[in-house]
Amino acid sequence: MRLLLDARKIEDYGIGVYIRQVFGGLLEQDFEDVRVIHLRGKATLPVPPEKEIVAEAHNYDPREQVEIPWKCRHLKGYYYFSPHYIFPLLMKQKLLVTVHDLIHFLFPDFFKPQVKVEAARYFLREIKRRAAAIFAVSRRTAQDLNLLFSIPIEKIKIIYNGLSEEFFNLPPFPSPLPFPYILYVGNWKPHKNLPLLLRAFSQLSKKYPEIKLVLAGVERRPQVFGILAELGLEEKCLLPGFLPQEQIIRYLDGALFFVFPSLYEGFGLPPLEAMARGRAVLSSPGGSLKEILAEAALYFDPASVEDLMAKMELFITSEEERRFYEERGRSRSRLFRWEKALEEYVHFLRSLD
Amino acid sequence: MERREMVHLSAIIINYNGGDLLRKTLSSLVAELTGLELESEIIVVDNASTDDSLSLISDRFPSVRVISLPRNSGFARAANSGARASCGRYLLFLNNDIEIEPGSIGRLISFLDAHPDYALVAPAVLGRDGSFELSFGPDLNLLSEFFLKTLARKYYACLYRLFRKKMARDVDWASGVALLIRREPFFEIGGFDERYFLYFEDADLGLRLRCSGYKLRYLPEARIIHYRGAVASKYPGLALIEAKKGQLLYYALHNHPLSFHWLKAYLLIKFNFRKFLAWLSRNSQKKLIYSEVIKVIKGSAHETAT
Repeated sequence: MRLLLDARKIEDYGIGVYIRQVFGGLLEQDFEDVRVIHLRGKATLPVPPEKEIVAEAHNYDPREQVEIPWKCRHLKGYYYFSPHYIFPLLMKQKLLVTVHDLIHFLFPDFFKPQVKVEAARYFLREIKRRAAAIFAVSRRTAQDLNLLFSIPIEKIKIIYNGLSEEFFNLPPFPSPLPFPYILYVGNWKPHKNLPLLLRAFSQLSKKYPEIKLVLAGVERRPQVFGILAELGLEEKCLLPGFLPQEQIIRYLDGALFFVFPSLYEGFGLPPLEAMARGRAVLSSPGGSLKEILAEAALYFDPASVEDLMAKMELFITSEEERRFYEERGRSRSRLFRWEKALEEYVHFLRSLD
Repeated sequence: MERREMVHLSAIIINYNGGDLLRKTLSSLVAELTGLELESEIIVVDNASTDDSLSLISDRFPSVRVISLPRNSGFARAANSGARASCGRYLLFLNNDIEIEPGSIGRLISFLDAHPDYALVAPAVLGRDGSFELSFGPDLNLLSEFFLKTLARKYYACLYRLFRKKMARDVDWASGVALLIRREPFFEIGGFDERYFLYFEDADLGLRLRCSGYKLRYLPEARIIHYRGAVASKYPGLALIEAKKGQLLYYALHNHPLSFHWLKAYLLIKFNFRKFLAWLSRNSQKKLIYSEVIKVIKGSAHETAT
């Protein structure tokens, strides 16, 4: 089997991890030939220069549509593996594609202008028509593909993501902050449902003034600070901005517990990472979250401030309750390993030939 | 809170005139479950048996819950009633004429524990004499059923003898003789389809599970012995009629209308021929059964099922 891996998104937060783990792993297998597309001046996978194709156009850049197919025109009989459903349409190679989530189609109101959603829809229809294999990172994503694009689920290969080994290996760190805090990790996009968390927390902090909320990964934008000011939470909420993995681990280790109000996730890595570090997780059941976290998290209604508040209070007051979920979370997180995922990718790819 | 009341495993045995075999099944199950250190419950769903199969249960197995259905309503319906009454995170459906090899249930459970993407896992099924029984297969259509009826048993039996370890595989469906399934997927897809009386409900379950994105596994490290004593041999007529009804329903629901009609034509020819042979050999009982079967086949229509 000859593979052409598109690693241009390696510096992205979510897909970057996927590329490093899955594509990096595929490089170590004894496939007939593996070429990698890199972005000029960005991080790379460890490949010799003759196996490397250097591109100028980033993913989403309209120029990629011409540049990538042109630079790969001589690669015949290869499988082009795209880690995202936006791909250069003119590629002549057979197409393999991973779909992580379908937020654009499930919450079209969150994504303006509408043209973006329509364009993405076109790409997915193309994928349905010509992909040699479609990978989905969760059963939920596969079901959504089936529901929105009528792709039969039997045609979709579901392979769960894994957790980086650091989350299991590193020894516990002392808390980076001198006060007790509740932790959220993720960005500030509308489907992450952060206003609900903030409203619940602002009520809660009247009762427990010593506890703070840390929103790791949330962009430090004026709009976000505006909402915090509105709720009177400037003093109570910490926004450390984007953090590298090791910092995230430190924040996780010091947290009282982890909260994740997202309405939809394709996989839900952050709460799983929290579980691996032994934090009790309070989560919304949205998207794939209930599938991935199963019985190892305490769930709340993502539309109800009262429910979230009551359950946060339960976790604050009852150490026994927290221990119960910490224990379950630890064993749940151990089920998701990259080596296992990689084995399934390799097994499936070999069966394609 | 609700979660603390859940037990780990609910074993659900569907019984219809099982007699001594039911008691044998139960004692091997009880022995197996006491060996495992987890909370479990055993439920026997009785399809209005007319024999003494329930009489000794309450004395010999006081922990077993018995659900008595008012009439014989078939495997699927009984299994669903048992599942609704259960409170286990894993549901283990068993026939009433089996024996479990020690350690098997533990292996099934630890497989599901370790693989969140699988909804169902089934053990290897062995005959009374330890021979291999085919208890899984590909999705049913005319071609695959031809394979299953002709070459498959010998092929897989040979594989099983030679490479027992390598037999573990993802399957499209696994036989309802014994299967372990997670609670949420089972209820998510609505359980067994109660339109099936006996046979084919397991193939239907497997297909619908996979349509929801779950995977199914055949695990030969776990083994059960199937005595085949119960319904099928005691009531050959009933079993045959329900098998054909189930097969036609499955084709009507999940296959192309054309293959449904092909199947119907094939079955009509086959059973008319058998009826003719029975007539030749002056076997009036068989002749009666085959006439019944032919009536059922003629009465089935693609439209009524779908």
